[in-house]
Amino acid sequence: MKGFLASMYVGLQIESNWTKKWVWLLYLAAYPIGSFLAVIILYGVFGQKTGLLPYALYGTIFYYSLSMVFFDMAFSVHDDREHYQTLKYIFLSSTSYRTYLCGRAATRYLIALAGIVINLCWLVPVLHLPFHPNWGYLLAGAFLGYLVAAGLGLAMASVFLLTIKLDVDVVDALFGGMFVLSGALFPPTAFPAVFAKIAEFVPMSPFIELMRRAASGQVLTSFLSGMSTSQLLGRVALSAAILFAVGSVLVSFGSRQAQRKGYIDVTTAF
Amino acid sequence: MHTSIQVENLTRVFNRRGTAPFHALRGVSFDVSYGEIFGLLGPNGAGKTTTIKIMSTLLLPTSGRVTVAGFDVEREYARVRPLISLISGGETSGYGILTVEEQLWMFSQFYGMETPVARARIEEYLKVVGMWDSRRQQMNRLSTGMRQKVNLVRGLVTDPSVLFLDEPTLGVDVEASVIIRRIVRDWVQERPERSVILTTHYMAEADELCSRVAIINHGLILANAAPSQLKQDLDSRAHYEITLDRFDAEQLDRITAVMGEGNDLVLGADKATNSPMLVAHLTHESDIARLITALAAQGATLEYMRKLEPTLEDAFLKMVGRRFEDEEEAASPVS
Ligand SMILES: Nc1ncnc2c1ncn2[C@@H]1O[C@H](COP(=O)(O)OP(=O)(O)OP(=O)(O)O)[C@@H](O)[C@H]1O
Ligand SMILES: [Mg+2]
Repeated sequence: MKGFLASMYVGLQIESNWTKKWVWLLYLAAYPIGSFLAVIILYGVFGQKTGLLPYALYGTIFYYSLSMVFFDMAFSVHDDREHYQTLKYIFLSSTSYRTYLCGRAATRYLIALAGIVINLCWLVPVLHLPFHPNWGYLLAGAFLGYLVAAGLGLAMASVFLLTIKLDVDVVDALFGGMFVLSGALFPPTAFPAVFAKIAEFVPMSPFIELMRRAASGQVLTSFLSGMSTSQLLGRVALSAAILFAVGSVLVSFGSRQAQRKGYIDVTTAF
Repeated sequence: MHTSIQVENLTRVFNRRGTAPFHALRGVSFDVSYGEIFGLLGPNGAGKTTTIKIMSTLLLPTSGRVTVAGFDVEREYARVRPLISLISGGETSGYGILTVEEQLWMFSQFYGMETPVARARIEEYLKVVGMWDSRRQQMNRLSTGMRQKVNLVRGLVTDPSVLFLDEPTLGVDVEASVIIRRIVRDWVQERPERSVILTTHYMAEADELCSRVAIINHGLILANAAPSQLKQDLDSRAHYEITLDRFDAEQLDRITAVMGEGNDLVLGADKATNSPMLVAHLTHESDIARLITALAAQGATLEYMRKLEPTLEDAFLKMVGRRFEDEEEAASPVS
């Protein structure tokens, strides 16, 4: 537990320590805007009639809370190893590397949530977004979302433990692909049935849909509309449990494999 | 249990793309007792760091077995890790944005230490290394030597039983090296269950600190003994350098005859004063008395005399050099 909290602390320090606290808060608020702005323009200008803006905006916002985490996981393996050269010392400590990563993920997730909350404060009134929160679902969803994000993050990290060169293009492509497939931006039901089917099984989509409903208080499209919100919650819980378990197994495997190959302390920067 | 660490027949092969598998360790065995500072010496690429990495659970061996405090490093690494600390020299590890204090506290938390205990230890060791005043400095503002001291403190704060030091004084100034060596020596003596594994390229450092050293080259151990033993084994004869006011070749012949079989005398000149200088290699150290008497009988006056002690460096060079020659034909693929 101490190790977990210390990991959160490192994450927070790395995130925030480069500037004064108030500048950082501003940055926190401004950072996610870039990703929402494209959606607002896309739907606001070209797709006004579709009425899909709330769907896409909530989708993008909550996808953002997940993607921040697994992006960060990929980079934290790389940075700890190459840049800070602390990976081996963390690895050798009494805290398991999985716990460390979960701590880092927790910080990132909370920061992302904070950014979301700050931005919703102006997005809701300005864009007249439907906002009838069900706090119970929101809180439960936010907690399960952490497990989803951490699970995917651990899987990401295990890949990067075994990859010496950080290939940013691959990471970008992966996240872009998942963004589209998870139905964050377009309702997958607008696509051929195959896609809709795939989207249902993309691990993030039930979480995103749950959060949409929990925040807006409405079922915004027909995507996953066959499920009641409580069924959806069950579905998210299930996928969170599976993802977290898979992530944990992968990171154990990745650590062992990295130990075998001698990748825990490689540096490529000469 | 008297052995802190047992290394049995350790091998490690690195598979590198496009080249033949590289045998970094080819059957290394040794053990380290409690209370000991054990040195690993060897030229670049000998396999010292590889050995340390395997012992400290960073790397898996290809074959062989290592136990630390009775725990197998390959299977029981979770039991081993709380007992050990690794400190590598010549690196710039640390979160630059954290202060010295924050960085050390953070690592103590990874070991589950209570904050007050951790704070007290951090204070104690920062004072020992003379860095208490820099505790609020950011890591990225520190010089190499200061960082290395923080690195050492990080290793000590968590109260390990085994300390792995991979070139701990690399890039550190003379004064700081002295401090680091003193800390390591005091630390190991403080409690009976402690031990240290040290690699270094400074022979004097190994000679000063280590109760035993292993000389390793091309992944094989060539010798494993106390530094004094290695120096003695190098050459059992005693060597003296004697500067005289005057001495010639004729007198040399006479004295050589007096000293007899097994004692060699070589006449040269002192580089600085150009006075005649006699180098004597004696089978028995006690023969020096006879030599001095004989020189006096020849009417030569001693200006200066000193005993030439073999150094660990001599022993090292002789051993490693010999192996190089042995292996010239069977040249293994070196990177
Ligand atoms: N991850 C790796 N992949 C391939 N080869 C490696 C790897 N790590 C070490 N080696 C090789 O193994 C050999 C032993 O390396 P090691 O780092 O143990 O040497 P060392 O004795 O510590 O040398 P130095 O005094 O230079 O630190 C070297 O030839 C090195 O090139
Ligand atoms: Mg080395």
